[in-house]
Amino acid sequence: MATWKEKRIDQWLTKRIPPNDQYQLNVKNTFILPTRFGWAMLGLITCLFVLGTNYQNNVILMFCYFVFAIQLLSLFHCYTSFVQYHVSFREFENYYANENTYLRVSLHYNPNRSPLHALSNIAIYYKDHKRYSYLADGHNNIDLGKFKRGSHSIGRVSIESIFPFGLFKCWTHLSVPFVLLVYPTPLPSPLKLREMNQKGDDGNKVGVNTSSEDLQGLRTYRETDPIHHVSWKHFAKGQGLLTRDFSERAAVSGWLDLADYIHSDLETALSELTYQVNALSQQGSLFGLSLGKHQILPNHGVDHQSQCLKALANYQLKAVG
Amino acid sequence: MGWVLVLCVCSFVITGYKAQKNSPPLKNSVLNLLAILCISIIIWLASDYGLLKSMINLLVVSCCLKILNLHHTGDYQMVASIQLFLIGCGLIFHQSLGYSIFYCCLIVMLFCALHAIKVRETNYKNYSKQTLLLVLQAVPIALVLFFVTPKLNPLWKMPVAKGSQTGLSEKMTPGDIANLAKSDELVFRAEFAGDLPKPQERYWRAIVLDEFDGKTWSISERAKNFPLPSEVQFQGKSLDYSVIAEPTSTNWLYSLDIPILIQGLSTQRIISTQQFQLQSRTPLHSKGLYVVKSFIEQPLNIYNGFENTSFYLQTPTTGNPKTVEYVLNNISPSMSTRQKIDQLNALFADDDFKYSLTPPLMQTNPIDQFLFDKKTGFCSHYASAMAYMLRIANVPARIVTGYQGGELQSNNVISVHQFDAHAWVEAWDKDLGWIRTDPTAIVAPNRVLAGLLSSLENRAEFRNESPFSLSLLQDYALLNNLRLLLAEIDHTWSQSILRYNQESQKSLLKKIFGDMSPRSFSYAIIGSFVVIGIFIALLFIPRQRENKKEEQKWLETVFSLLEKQGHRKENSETLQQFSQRISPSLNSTASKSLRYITKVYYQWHYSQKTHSEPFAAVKDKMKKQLSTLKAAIKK
Amino acid sequence: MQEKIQQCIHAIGQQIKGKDAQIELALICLLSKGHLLLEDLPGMGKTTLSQCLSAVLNMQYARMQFTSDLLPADMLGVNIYEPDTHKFNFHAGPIFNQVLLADEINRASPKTQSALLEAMAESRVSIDGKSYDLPEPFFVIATQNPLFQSGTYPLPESQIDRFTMKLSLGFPSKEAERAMLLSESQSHEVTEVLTASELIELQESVSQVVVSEPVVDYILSLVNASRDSQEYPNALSPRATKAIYHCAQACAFVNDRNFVIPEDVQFIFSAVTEHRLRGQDQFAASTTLLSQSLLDKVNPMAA
Repeated sequence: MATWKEKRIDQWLTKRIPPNDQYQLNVKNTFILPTRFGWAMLGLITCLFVLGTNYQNNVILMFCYFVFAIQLLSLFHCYTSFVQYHVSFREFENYYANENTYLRVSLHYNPNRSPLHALSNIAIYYKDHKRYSYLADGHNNIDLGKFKRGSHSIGRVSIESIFPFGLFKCWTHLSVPFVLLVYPTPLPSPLKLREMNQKGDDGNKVGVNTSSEDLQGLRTYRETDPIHHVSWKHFAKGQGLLTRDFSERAAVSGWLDLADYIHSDLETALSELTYQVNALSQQGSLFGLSLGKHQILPNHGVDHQSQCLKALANYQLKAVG
Repeated sequence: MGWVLVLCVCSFVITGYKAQKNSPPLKNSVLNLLAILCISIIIWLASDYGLLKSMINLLVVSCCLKILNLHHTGDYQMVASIQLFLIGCGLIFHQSLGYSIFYCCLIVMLFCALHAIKVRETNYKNYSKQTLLLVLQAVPIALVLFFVTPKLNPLWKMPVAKGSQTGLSEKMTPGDIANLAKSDELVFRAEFAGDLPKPQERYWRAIVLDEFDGKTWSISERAKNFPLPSEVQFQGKSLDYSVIAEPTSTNWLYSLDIPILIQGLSTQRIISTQQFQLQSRTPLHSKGLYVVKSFIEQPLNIYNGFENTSFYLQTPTTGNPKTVEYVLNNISPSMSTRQKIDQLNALFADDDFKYSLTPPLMQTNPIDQFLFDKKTGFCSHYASAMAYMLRIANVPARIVTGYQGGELQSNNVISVHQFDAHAWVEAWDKDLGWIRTDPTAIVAPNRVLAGLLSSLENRAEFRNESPFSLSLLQDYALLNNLRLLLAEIDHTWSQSILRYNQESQKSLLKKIFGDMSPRSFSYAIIGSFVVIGIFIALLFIPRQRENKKEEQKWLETVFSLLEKQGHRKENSETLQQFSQRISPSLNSTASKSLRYITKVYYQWHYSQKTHSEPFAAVKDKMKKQLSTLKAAIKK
Repeated sequence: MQEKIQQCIHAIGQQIKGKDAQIELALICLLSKGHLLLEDLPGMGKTTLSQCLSAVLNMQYARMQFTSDLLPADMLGVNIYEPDTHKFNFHAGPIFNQVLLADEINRASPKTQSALLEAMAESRVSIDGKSYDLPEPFFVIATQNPLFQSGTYPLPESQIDRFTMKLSLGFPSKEAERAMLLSESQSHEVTEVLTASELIELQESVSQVVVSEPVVDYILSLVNASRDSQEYPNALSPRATKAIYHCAQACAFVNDRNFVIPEDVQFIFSAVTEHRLRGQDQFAASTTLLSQSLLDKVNPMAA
């Protein structure tokens, strides 16, 4: 039942505050209610009114109305100071499962806001991880804690302010439109590479050093590559335009295969593969990644690395977004 | 309770010390033990202090203990709300201007503290300034609410505080009042609507004492009520005045003879007794206001024939033989009451009698000792001796205590202090009723005419007894004026605070909105909420920052002038580009003057690093062109 | 002095028809001691413009064709062992000229590009531990082909920032092209108008042009607008701010004024900032100029 209720609330919120990477806080996406202290203050006002009436004491009554006026003003100040803010989320960086992840939020306020609101302060609250921290003007990195590998949708974070006096709370639930991609924790392990053209074979699992001193491997053709570097042999085989890559990099190349790493459980294997992907990329090696049905052709470079890592992160998980 | 104050100070000191040392909060178990201890003490003493005071002490104690371990924002807020409530409670007891200002400061400080919670700013100056601004915004709203929200009658009876009784007591042993004379505390202020009474007529009656045991006068247990005459005719001049009495925790109120209470304008429920006293139904725990009409020329004989005066002859059977002898020797039963009084008063005309604030002790047969031995005394000695002698002379007599005199504070306000406490005698005459006779006036006529402090001798004595009294500043004109001014302000404050009730609210609203039918009353309330709404809206309407320079404002007027003609300046356009763009669509005069304005403005605005001549001078140059431009485009 | 500048513009205008604004901007760039990047398709007159500039100014001029196998030493010069004297003698490369035309700069390898840009920034080169000062004035006109052409190495942001201005000439109007064709028969020699020392003098007086407080505010709010908004992939650097400032001064000077007005800033703004704002995706498929959207955002009369 609870989940059904949550779902309805979520649906309603999505309709009311559609996901976006930046939000101007305004009447549409802001909620306001007295805090616990605010309710207590209302009780106090009632007490003071009874006190003042029963003792027929004008000063107490005056005091009572004064506190009420403060309450009233607080309501307005709370709202108006809150809607001066503009919140924008930035895309997540990529993290490993053993790292703390950070939500990147920028906060800007309307430069024309009343100087009375200069002290207003807003906090960000992430329900799932019980994180509560204040936002500074400009860029903020909010610690979200650690996540398991995979793609995570952060969902909604709450932003709230109790300025002034903490009598009222203005808040909003903003959804973070970006997907948090968490790679498996890298785990050092011995390198097991399969030779390039014998992939799938069980025979040779040893790393292969290519004979040519300079030729490092093949990569997909880019427009700026000189035409004489194109590997016509592969083209003729129907593997598309590949460029022979010359460099001074260490000449290790081959396939990383998940099957070679599975000893105990899948997670450890993925962690070890992550470590290998990073190590090989750092060396500038040419390698491919084979995860069961899903295969990434041999390549090198940062893009290739992140592609491999993403595949490792999402392996056997439903990718989000 | 004193120990609560000590606890308060302790907890503040500990908190301050902890803040300095950054040490962790106290353990809960320690605090809980302390709390149980404190609560049991308070419950133990509850019967002595009464419900209200015990409750307040309980709150103070809990607040003090909570301060010792503040953890979360919620704790701070809890303490703050308790403290706000305590301020409300404090206002039950003290409403004078000074206290009100003190409480205001406390309120501002509290809100400062609340504001400081969850604010990044650490500079206390900043947030205190902001708090002050916010608080000031709340004041007008509070005022409107105060004047408009209907005032209700008390919803239910509240516990009242048992205060220590001050002022006159219900027993008088000669020498008692001398203690009061050493205090310059305010007792009450009376504001007269018309004439003031003459100084020698300012006898403020409070308590009538009729039982004497040889030493002490007290109120007898006898029923002093008697059937009233059906109709009472007052004659002669009357004085109208209102009295603001300071709290005494007794029922006695003060008035000139013969008081007729104007009900309905008083904060207290008051009855008038048949001894011409005013008595509040409940002890006066906070300031009270009542309005009285006094017929000062009417002799106190209105109850003649109704009152049984025989028990005003009661005397102790033994003691004071000399006095008895003296009276029996000097008074013959054939004398009229008046003659008897005069005869006895003649005794005091003797030069040997002295008026003193510090009379010697008189233990046995005090009246004998006073009359024939020491011959030095305070008003209570004289009154006591006189009343005793009158009773022996078979004249019904009683002692009245109250206040005599008072300081003229402004044209129509008399303030009476404790040192004005006085006692005098009333003797019964068949025709005239009760005749006031004041033996002190014979011994020390100045005491009655100009007050206690008029005689230098007394002032020196007074100074010895209470060296820090403000009343001693009378010698210095400037300081005295200041003192009187402060007293005046305080009086006005209490007057306006106490006077405002349902009646005055109605009359005020009547003044503003005309006659009040229920419907127009509700209109008024709605109207005032609209006023509050508008006020708040005004605070929150987004305003352009007023830091624009003069030249920009001037330029904006030019642009808005042209915009009315359909020539809108694009945001990215400069003045020159704009004027070039629109000049084809203007007539030649207009475009010429616009070009001129552009040229002058550019020359002034951009040709120097900082402006050497003020904009006003340049504005004058362009003024004429601007008006031609205006005229040209209007065509 | 001012008429000399007008003469320059006129003289170059004889050669390149209908491009007065670009010629003026190029001169402004020169006067503000900046370097110029010309970007256009082949045959649009980039080289002509740079040749004319150097001819009018009567300065030492060298042209280098950048190719992928060009090495830094080819440009900077090299120490050569002389068998007669048994010593190494420094043979200065083409960079030791007052005007250097670096043709098709994005064809050279990054190594060579960065060597040139280092020289541009520091106005000196170091070879084998010894540093040699470049001549005064030193002015680099680089041309590049649009990046989608094959065999090019895009200039990184850090280097692109070193160029004060990037101009593209664009196709001439029909009239201008007609005039070009008709004047082809009678080819003018470009007459020299300024000497190098006169140019230095002019550069000196450009720096004397008054920039008032409101104009400085305007420049700063333009720059800040680029930093505040996320529309711009690369916010303007303080170096860009300085470039705007100096170019606006030069622009006022060219227009015979001794103080800068907001129009000057607007005139040079796109040329100075567009390439910095775009960074590496110089040819991102947006038709509107980023710099123009910045100009539209900021009200020049607000300061």
